[in-house]
Amino acid sequence: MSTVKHTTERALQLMRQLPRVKLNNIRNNPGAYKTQKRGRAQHGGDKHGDGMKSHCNYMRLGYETGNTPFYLRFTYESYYKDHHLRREYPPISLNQLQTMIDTDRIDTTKPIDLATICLTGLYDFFPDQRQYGYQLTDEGANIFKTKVNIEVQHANELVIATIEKNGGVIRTAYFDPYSLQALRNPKKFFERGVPIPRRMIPPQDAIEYYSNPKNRGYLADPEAISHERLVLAQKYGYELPKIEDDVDYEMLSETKDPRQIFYGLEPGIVVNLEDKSIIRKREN
Amino acid sequence: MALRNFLKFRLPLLQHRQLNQSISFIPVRASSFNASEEFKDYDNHPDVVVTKNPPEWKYVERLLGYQVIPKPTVKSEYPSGWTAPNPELYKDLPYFIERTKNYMLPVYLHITFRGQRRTTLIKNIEGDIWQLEQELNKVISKRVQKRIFSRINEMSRQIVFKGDYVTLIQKYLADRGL
Repeated sequence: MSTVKHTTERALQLMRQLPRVKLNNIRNNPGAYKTQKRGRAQHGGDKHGDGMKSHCNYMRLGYETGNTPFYLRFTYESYYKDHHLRREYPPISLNQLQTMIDTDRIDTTKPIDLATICLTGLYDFFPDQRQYGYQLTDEGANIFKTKVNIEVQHANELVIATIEKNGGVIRTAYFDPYSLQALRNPKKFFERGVPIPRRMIPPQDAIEYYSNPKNRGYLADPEAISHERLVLAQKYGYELPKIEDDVDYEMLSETKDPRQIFYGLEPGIVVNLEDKSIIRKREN
Repeated sequence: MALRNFLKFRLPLLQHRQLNQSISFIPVRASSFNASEEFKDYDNHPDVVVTKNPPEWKYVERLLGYQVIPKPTVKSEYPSGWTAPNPELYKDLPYFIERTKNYMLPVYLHITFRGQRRTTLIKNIEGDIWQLEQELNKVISKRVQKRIFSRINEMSRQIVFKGDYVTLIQKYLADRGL
């Protein structure tokens, strides 16, 4: 004769026999979801969710019930405001730059500029899409070791500190789209047989950036820049290497004129690649 | 009527002329090519001097770049983490991975389905591809403590791992001198 079991015990015994709750057998509680059905009686389907507004077949154009039209329902966020005026600087990280130097794509015994970066074949940009050169980003700032003289279009404080800590020189410079086309592929530009143009001065909203010694702008006062170099060294806590005593002083002090595009080539000359000659205006 | 017609058609012209006169006093701005001189006849162009083998040619040569990708030279250290292949280490391995034309390891991350799926692709594998997969699978699953799924394409000499293990694989291959 079997003993009479308690209800709890019987329920537990039942649970032991039942399958475990798994992803393949879980269900919603009955009535948890209500499927929407259209009424079929006298006034069942004659308003289409629009209440007493109208007895139309579909909603009024631009409305989805209520008095607010769809185009006014959400706030306006102008992500693309002034997109036709904004300048873009596609990034290159310090890590990428170091890899290019390690694999001998860039010669650090000569100053680096946008043309050098494009000549590696690992970077390209499109001046016609308002891309105004490259920005050097701080990814890999902890591993960067090389002494370089580099000209960039945009750089932040950490990048400037990293370059200067390693005994290098950094300068931010603006180039107008026509000059950028020449820098993007110098050989193609020389083959056109046109004189090297003068670099244009930056537009009004970029002048402030490029004349600020904190950004190492190419229009800034050189004495203010050397002061800011010292300030940044103190802020980041490194000893500023003396460029004047460096063996590569000549390379590190090489700069471009604010109206010049290529190193060592003044505007107005024509470069003939075939005859290895330079054509310039006769001076009286 | 005649006066009205005159005013209607000539007045804007007169105003325009006055406007032009005032424009000529605006200083030249060097931020646009609109300010530069107009192109004149070829005969009016200035005399030129042609200099052969000029001292500036070294600056021109700097801008011509290289025709062939330069082979990385041997250095005491590579701060970027790039390593040169070492035949001393890899000569006894049953497999080999050829470097790309840029002298990099052919290990790539593929992101598909808007970042939902990440796969790691290894290319240019020669030799025993099955053993390489086993070794990598063991190393990765030991590191991440879970089962790793992979696909071997012996025909195209490729292995695909499900997940982002690029740095892990690159380090393992670099340690073996590949």
